[in-house]
Amino acid sequence: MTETRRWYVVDRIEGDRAVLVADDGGEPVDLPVASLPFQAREAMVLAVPLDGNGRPQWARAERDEGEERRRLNEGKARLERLKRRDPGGDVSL
Amino acid sequence: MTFWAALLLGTLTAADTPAVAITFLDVGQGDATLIESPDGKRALVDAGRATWRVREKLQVMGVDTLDLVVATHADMDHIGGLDGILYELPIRSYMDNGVPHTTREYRELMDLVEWSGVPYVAATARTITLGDVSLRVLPPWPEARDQNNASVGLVVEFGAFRMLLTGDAEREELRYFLSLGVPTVAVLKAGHHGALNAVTPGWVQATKPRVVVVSVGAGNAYGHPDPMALRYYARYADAIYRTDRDGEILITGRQDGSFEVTTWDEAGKPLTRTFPAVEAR
Repeated sequence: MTETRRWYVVDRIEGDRAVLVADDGGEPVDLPVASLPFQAREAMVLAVPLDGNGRPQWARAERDEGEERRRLNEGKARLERLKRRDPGGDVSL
Repeated sequence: MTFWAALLLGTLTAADTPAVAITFLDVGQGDATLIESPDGKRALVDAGRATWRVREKLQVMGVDTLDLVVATHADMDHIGGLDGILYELPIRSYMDNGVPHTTREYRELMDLVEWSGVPYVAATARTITLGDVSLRVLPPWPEARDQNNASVGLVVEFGAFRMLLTGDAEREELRYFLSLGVPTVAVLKAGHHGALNAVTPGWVQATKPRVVVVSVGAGNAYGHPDPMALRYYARYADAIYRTDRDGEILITGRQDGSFEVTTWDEAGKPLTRTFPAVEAR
């Protein structure tokens, strides 16, 4: 039987707490950094197994570095495209 | 009379002299700041965690267009409300810190920015003229390894009145901003919701704020604002305002450097404190 997983992203680290947001929406999750099996860092993409009741098993979270790189590269490429719209210099609105 | 009723009745424009109006919106744990020039140009800097918190406030304030939207950095408590604003309001230009995030919310926001065709204004060292108000951009620290330390800074100037916004910049980026040259200011938004990692004695000494505004949610889990940080600010500031206690905070700045701070008490009565123009501190 395939284990159900949910993808989360570490939105930010606030002291000893990590704020995570799920790819499929919902309220951000705020949990102690120590709840994760590795040192969490901002922008990490995590695959998190769910238990039978749909609750995330944070201690079994795995980092998805490939997806993380893909998203960051996609973001960088988009920003390069957007910079072509920049009027340059000082701007008067 | 509540803040919103006062706005509807137009009673907030008591003085005859032109003024820049800066409203720190109470969006809970997050930032959202609206800057309005005397000639009606508007910039929104960040939009808190969720669109609904900001949208209603902008509607009541009669904001139907934004000349500039600035996402100081891509954390959710700053950009979470932006997608709905971009979707619903005409936006004339968009600026962010140029550092991608991996959240769905960031990617959807950038989908909208790209799809809408809005001019993108990179956060380089440049000045944005917003009607009679100038916004000097403090570019993100090039060596930043996280979003906070890659925040866009803005020096808002209207004549001798100056205000400084630094997103969630922490000590390392504040040092970088100081190296770029930061003026003394009338109003300073406390960095990173009043966290201790976003202020130094040197920062406060250099900026010498007369008023500090902390945009922060009540009962947040992060201990914001930090009591030690508040003590640093209190060394120079005559007053510290907090959105968790004061709600919406309106700053009205005039060209001679004088300004007023208005909040509303629980009964909705406006409480205005006037800060006269002073010689350089």
